[in-house]
Amino acid sequence: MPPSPLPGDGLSRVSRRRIAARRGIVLGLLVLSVLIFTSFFREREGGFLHGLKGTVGAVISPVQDAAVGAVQPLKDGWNWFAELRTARDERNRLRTQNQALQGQVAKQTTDAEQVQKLREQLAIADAGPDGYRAVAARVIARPPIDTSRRVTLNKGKSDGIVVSSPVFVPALPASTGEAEIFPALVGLVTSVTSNSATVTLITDPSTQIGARLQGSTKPLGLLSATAAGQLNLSQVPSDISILVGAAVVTSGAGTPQLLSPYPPDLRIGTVSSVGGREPGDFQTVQVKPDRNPLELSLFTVLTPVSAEAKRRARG
Amino acid sequence: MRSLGVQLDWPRPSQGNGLWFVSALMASAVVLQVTVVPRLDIGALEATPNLVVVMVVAVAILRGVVVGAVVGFAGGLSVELMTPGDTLGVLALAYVVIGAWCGRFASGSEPMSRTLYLIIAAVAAGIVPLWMGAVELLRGDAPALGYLVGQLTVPHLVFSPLVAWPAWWAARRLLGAPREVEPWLVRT
Repeated sequence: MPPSPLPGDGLSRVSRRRIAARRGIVLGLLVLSVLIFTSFFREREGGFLHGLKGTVGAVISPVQDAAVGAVQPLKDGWNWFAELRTARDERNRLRTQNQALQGQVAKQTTDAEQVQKLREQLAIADAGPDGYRAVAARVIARPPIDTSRRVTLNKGKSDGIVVSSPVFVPALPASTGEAEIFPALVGLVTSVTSNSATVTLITDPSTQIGARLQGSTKPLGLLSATAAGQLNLSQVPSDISILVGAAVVTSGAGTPQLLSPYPPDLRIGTVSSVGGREPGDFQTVQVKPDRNPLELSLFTVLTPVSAEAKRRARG
Repeated sequence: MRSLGVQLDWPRPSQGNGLWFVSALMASAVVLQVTVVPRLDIGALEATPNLVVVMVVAVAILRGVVVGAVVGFAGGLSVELMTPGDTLGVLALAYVVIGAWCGRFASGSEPMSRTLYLIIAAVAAGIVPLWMGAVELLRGDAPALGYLVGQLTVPHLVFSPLVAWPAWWAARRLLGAPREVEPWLVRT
């Protein structure tokens, strides 16, 4: 298929002007895009473009929230259908059952999943640290391309959420044999509007969390995420013995000038490997998060209530 | 359209520039992309199709370079404003290029086949994550190549054609045959 004619001999003056104007518009849009994204990267968090993005996000969040509710029955129906396909033999044996009963079973399954999720949310609320109030929130938006690991929740300032509120999900890792559900850290609220909050997940490369081994008082150092979404503890003194499978928790320690927003003793994950000797008798420790936050749709935000918690949120 | 004695009044293909239909198509694509589409993750890879880029491709093919570039800019910027990523203008830049390039096909002597459109839409959808990865690389937060290709590019490449066909059908239905439209350019 031939493209548009290029400027050259035989083109009328009007055609040349049209082509020049067309190129001008495209070039102008390209320059405008570059200006916007470079300005956005350079400006501070509360700048005009960030503010505009936050405002538009706040306006659209009720629509996104409503869409979640509208699509969920369709999704549940699809999941139900997919599960039926994998159990084709069993379905054939159950064909004698009438349609109403099948529908009832599907609805009960969905209800049971919802009940289980709510039970887990209740459990996490009880197990959370002192000085905080738990607010359950639903994910209503994700980035179009998951290179940045942030999500938007359907709760905001009106529910008491402030910037630097820690965010958790219930976890029950089979590998460690633990029986109790415990709160697993998944991120931190980094911006908030009246009815929505943006959470930067712990797997985002900007994350830095003071960490130590569970049961130990000695801080291991700062835990940070790689671009691939893995968690690393670097500059760990090599004289500290670390076993694969050991639980890693927040140390609660920041710097003398800056208080950590994470309260101590919050579970982050388990040590997945130890290695990577560094210069100066240091080692690198890889940590696997207890839950992959990108797979979750229900989060619990801990809003600060006590004076200590509020000081941590202010930083 | 007459079927079973019932008269269905489909919107007729635009006789004019069809820019209102273009605006409606893009607005619908953006709203669906930021509300419904993220819930429709497909398969084990949890991929979500990129409805906006396939609509930009369809509109550009049917209305030319200028309209393609403008809807690409507006669509990309709108999606970034309404979603929680830490970028603004990056998608707009990619979609301007995609819209302008695809718009060159509007002045072709033969109408484009649906298959060729699907291929272009899939490639465009696959390029977008690579572009986002390149921007992250420039910022020093490059995702691992395996993650970028396996978890982002391939799923977009594979699953975007699922929404490309309905997008093409709607755009053809509302905009009619391809033609170059340049409403703001010199006329004399």
